[in-house]
Amino acid sequence: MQFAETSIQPAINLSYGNFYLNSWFNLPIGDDDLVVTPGGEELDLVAGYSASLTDVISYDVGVTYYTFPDLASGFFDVLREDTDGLGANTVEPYIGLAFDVPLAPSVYLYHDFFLDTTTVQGNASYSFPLSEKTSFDVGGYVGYVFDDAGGTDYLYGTASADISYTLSDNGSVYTGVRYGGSDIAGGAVIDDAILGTRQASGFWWGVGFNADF
Amino acid sequence: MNRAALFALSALGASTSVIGAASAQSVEVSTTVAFESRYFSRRAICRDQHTTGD
Repeated sequence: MQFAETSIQPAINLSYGNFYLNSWFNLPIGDDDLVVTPGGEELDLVAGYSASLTDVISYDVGVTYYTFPDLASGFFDVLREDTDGLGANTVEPYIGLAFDVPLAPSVYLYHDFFLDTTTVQGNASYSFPLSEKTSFDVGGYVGYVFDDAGGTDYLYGTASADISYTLSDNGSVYTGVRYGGSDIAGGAVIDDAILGTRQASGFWWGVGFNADF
Repeated sequence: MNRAALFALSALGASTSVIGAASAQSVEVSTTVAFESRYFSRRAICRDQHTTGD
């Protein structure tokens, strides 16, 4: 499901040598989140290690802890379908390869131990300089989820196009449009939060601020 | 945990990160604050499929 409401998504990324710690938070702020978003608050905590294999190829390994602060489950309650059903958090290790060539392609393999799913995702991006401080950035990813528990496999993906403006050596802003969807039966993008109707794909927009310290 | 508490934790985390970067030169910190008109998450798709069934 791609919930319909607008969201603020703060992220903090720390790196020390080849090691990194990332956090990403989705906080719904739309009025309609009261209707459709149990679990709309998503906090992802990531620990990983990335290094070069060659001048062109680098690898990335890590693990993500997915939590949903607005659900009844506590921070350490992982998904357990055979107990009280309150646990929602899951753990997902991953490994990826990135290629330092045009379009910056990368491919990642994920496996969630609690949802019992394996995901393969490919990513690509490109930046067209428009001026000294402005660029047109395009990107996207396509993934396929194998439900190892016997459920339905599905395809998903997004594409984005942003105008970015460099404010300083350490800061930039961007805004742009996105398009995403999946081939999940019945559609996975909510087009009406009140009625709960869905469609296969949809557009949305975003604006953001990046800062390095 | 309510939203105010989560915001406070985020701010605390950012502050701690900045202090850490200042005291250890090799620690690099970056932040992003995005406003998106739709919550589109690979995890949200997967969890929804899992919880609502096929």
